[in-house]
Amino acid sequence: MSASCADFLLAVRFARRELRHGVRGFVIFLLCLTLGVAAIAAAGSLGETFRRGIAQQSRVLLGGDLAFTLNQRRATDEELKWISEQGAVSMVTGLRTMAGPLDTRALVQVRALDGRYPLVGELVLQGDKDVHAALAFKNGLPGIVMTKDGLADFSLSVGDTLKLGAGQVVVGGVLISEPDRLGLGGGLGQRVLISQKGLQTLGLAGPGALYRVTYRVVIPEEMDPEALVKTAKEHFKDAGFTITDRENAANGLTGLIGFLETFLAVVGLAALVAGGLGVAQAVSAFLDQRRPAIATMKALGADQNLIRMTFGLQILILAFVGSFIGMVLGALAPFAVMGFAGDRLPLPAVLAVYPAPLLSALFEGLLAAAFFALPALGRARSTPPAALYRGAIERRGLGSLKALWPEILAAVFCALGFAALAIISSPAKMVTVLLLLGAVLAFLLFIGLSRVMMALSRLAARRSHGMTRMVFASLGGPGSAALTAGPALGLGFALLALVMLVQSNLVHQISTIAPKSSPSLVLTQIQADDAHGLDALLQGKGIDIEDREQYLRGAFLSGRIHSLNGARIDREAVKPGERWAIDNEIGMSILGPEPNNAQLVEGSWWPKDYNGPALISLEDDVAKGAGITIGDTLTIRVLGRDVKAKLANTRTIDWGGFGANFAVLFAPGTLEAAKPSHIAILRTNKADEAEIIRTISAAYPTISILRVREALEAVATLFADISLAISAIAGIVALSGALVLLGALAAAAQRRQGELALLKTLGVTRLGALVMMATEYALAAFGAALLALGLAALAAWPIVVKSFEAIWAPNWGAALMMVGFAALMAGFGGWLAARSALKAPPARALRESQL
Amino acid sequence: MLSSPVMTLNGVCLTLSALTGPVSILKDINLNVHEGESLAITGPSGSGKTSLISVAAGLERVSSGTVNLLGQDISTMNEDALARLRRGRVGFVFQSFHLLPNMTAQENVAAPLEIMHNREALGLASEALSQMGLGDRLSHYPAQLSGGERQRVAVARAMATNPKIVFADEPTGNLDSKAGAMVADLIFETCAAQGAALVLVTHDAALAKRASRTIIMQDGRIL
Repeated sequence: MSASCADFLLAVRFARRELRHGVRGFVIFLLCLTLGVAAIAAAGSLGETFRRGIAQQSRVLLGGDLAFTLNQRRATDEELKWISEQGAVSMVTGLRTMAGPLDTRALVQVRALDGRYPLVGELVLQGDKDVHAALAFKNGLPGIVMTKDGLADFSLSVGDTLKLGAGQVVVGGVLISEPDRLGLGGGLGQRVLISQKGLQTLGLAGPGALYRVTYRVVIPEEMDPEALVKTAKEHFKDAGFTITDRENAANGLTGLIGFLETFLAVVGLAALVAGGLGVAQAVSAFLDQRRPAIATMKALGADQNLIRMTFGLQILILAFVGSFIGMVLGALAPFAVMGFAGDRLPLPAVLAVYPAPLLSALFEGLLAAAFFALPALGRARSTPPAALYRGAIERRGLGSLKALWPEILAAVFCALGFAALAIISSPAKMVTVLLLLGAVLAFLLFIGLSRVMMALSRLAARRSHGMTRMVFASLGGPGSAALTAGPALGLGFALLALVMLVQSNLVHQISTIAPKSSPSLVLTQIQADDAHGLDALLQGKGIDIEDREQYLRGAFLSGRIHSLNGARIDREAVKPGERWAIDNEIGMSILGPEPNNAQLVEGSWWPKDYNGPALISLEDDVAKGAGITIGDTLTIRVLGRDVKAKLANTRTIDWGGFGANFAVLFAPGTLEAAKPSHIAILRTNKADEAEIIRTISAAYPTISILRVREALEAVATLFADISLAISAIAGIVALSGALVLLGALAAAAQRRQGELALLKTLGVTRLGALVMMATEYALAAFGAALLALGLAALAAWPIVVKSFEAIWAPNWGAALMMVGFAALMAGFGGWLAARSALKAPPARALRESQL
Repeated sequence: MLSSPVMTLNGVCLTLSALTGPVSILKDINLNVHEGESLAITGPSGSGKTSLISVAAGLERVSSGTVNLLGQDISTMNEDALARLRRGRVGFVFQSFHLLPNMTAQENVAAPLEIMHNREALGLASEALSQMGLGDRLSHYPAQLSGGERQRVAVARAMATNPKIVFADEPTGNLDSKAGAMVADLIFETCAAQGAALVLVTHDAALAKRASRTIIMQDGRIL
């Protein structure tokens, strides 16, 4: 057997003997690692669970292998013939309209199904009723089905009649589930299913109406959907189809999962970074405690390699145990999440144990533990035995780096490996890189802050006296609370404060600013012929239709920008944040006079009574993002034809304000002849809303009315729920920090035993000693929390102002209360630690502490 | 004629850094210890006795001068070379016992043998402990032993490898007179039986008298 192999076996034997005595002193070490690894493993497992779910159900989500979607028109016979040649076809029409008895009319989402629906999956009605039987005409009225909640909203039951648009329908059944529900995404209003024939009878999808027709196709197994999408796109080059295959059925959901996974993984990484301090503390404390044993082993002839292996193995085994427990918890996370909240999560899941993300998390835990433990191990290994007997393990500043180079080098490799693994396993690599850098930078800042606090405390100690001086002297001394409280609390507190600041700003925007600046009602699907009648009706109800701050009405067009100066726009060349304007059919309008809230950036507005060649106004960000400049010609497919229009100006839009908030506005003269439907916005007080809706619905049943207040309230509720979930996840980092602080407090309780006993012998009362230590910890936490709040505000500002385009109005009162709470909790912890330290009789404490 | 020295100190100085500045601990120490010889070092507290055996055994580095241990100049040796030199050839008995707390008495005695990769380590350790009258304490941990028993385990550990030299730092300082006498007997008898040199630091004049030679230290110097 080689000497190194024999040494290794000996180290294993020695390590086993040490570990026989349990993991006392390593509880915080284990908890910190377990928590961080569990969060990372849970992130990866949940992501994989949902991704597999989507992949497995992609056909069901799309309703077929391919989907061809058109806006405001059906496919021509020729187009339909080509689509039908590819496989079995089913047509679904989607639109929004008003429904319900007159007093409770509300906006609903209508889906009209043909006889072949569903091509894939199963639609379930209450009592296992056949959907087509439920949608059949009864007494000359089309049948509809709605969910139980939907029927409850309108106080309806099966067999009741209600108005849908301008016509009457009868409830034919209760909807339990639609196979393709998740693939359709969310929307405002209850869902109503009707037959295509029923929709036709109601005339809701006539000329000028806003509707969408999707042809789902199931192709023979041997055909490649991706290749067919390519062929179809070529075939229907300029027909305006949006063609999707099953692989891209749920791009929105995949993006959401990616975001959630990245966020959770980053929280896990931050927890590991914050908890790393606990790991380092525990290892240092462990090696301090083993100091005489290490010295004795050295005296007995053990070389540094044997010491390193013996104690390194113990740390590695414990790190493995902690990480393994975390990994198991992470593996169980999807089962727990689906068990507790599966019915509320709009995501398909395939529950299983996924080894790749779990192993990745396990290794990240081991690498983090190694990174934080190696320097302490190196110091213990390299210090001469007499120094180990004499006192603390030697810390010789930069000079010791030379002696520690193997451990420092290994720690650097561990850090690089940790970062590489985190980045490789993340779905959003750049975000992970930036957040990882941010976490490390913040961590270093907190360490820097603790040094500054200590220096300031030493200064303050010189200028104060009595107990105050003693508190400052303690805070500035070598065992200062600032050294642990700051870095431990800082990261978690900064993350929580970030979530709180973003949330308070957005909630303020939604609940206070938006209701004041947004319209009360949005009216859509106004037929061009009804427009003037509607104006008169509203005027009769007290709305000043000439006041552009109270009422605005204009044509509403749905169109797609596809070419710039004759060449198709390359979406890859457009800034990702502005691709929405190129990828989708977007709302457009026609406007003569310059709108109130339009702030022109470039170019000039057309004359009020302009009637020349087509001109457009474009939102400035879209223009810049797509490289469109004044004078360029854009080709826009609108109302079934290509319109070439020159860019006259660009403007910024206050999306939350009252005005013509369309990315594209046409100058008058080009499109009016096609008689597009109109859209109107109006402002009224809450009390009059119901009466206005009733009046409009009675006179113009096909006009759809959106109550903005309700929508905002729904968004605010949803946002509060999301914020709560995000805060809970971010709380993992805070918990990790709290654990580190707990470990530090426990260590302080032991270390300060002698010091507090000495103070007592010098005449300090028990209460005085308790207050001193509580104040020291409270001050340290206060400084760290204040810096954390500053960092959180720096990170929150661009999110609120740039990403959400909201007004920066944080709730500073709540933020400062959080700072106070952190200080209070840390102070309480210090109090408890002092209480525990004061339990021992002073004589014994003094003897044991060797002061 | 005296046998060859197992330990030679020439002009040894030791200075340690402290918060108030450097502190001179040992000043120009010259000393030889020969094979089989027993040397007692006495002197008041803080005179440098423990520091002297620390530098002699390579537990502490000298600031200047040379230390020759078992025929090798250890002044310039690195930590690992020192550890390998001590392995099996140097024994220690400390005032505070310094047993490995998580190892049983048997494992403590076996530890230096195991470090030498001796396959019979545990068997030899049982034998050594039995000779010390601790045959019924093999599986006891240090915390379960009395002070005298702990020090006897430490003596067994120091002697288990048949060392050439044994350093004993106040070996009876923490023991009552009866246990102290027993431990002292064991140290002197075993060293004599194995032909090991003994360097003994003690305050106890009676114990010092049992050594073949005594030196007195004061303020870091040999008087």
